[in-house]
Amino acid sequence: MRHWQTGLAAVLAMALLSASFGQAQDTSKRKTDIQVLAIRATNKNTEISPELKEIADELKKQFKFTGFKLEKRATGSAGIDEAFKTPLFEGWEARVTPKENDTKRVKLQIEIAKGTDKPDSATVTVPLGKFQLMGGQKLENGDSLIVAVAGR
Amino acid sequence: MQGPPRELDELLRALTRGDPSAVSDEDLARIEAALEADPGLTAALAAEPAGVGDPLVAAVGGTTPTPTAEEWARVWDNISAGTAAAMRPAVARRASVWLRLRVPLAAAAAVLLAIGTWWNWERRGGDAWEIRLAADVEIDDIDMQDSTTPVVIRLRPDGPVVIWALADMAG
Repeated sequence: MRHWQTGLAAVLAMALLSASFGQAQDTSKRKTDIQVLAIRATNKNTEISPELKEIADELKKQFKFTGFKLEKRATGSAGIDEAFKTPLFEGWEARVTPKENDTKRVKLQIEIAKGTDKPDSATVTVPLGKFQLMGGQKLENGDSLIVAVAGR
Repeated sequence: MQGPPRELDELLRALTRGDPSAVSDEDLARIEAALEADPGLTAALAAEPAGVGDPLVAAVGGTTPTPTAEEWARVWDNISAGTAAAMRPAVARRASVWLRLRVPLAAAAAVLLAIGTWWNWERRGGDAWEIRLAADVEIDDIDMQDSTTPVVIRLRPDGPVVIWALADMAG
């Protein structure tokens, strides 16, 4: 009697565990958590937001910017082929659409647009949780917009 | 009638006592022959009081009191109760099994849900997003405004890239 009770409990345990992991593995239904960073890059000051230290160190190698300010951080989620939209600043908006998401990498379509203008779009595949940079859009005072996007 | 001969009488008494050691096969044959020859002997044998069987039982029975009616009733009641329990319907027995299982099953389910939640939480890194640039990037497509030229700038060898919208200088 005890043996079949133990076996039944083990079967139920494995079923619950499989369901829990299975839901995480089902790429067709999983939602992608998304984070968008809106950054003002300038050469008018040397202020660098603490969160952007690594990004600033990398960008300084190729760009002449001296200051990097985190204007906005937005977090959300979206399903496959669903767009996560978030306003940035000065009328700019970012749209991030997950295209694929497995356990290691995610494909994201990143669109940056202002008003009704045609958006600047790029589709990239990156490791989960790692940020991709896209920018160059001119801001009102001559600074540049840089958007960092990650999905997981 | 005088009754059976003394020797035969002793044999018959040994038979009624149930004492096998006192009667040999030869003696049995003699008893059978005697019974067949004398019908009156059969009647006399039947009139003899019955023996008490095994001598050990007879000896014990002489010293051990027999149960009273109340004691017999209690014994039968206990037997009846045990039989009723054994005869419990199969459905009741299965229900009892599940009742005993509910606590360990619930505990196992709670533990597994906690593990699954923790695993998903760890995989997602909880609420915190560590800002690290992607180095292993595949660019699938770029489409920008007509007034800009897309440029992919690698920040360092085998390092992260920036997709830059370079404004056209003309016009």
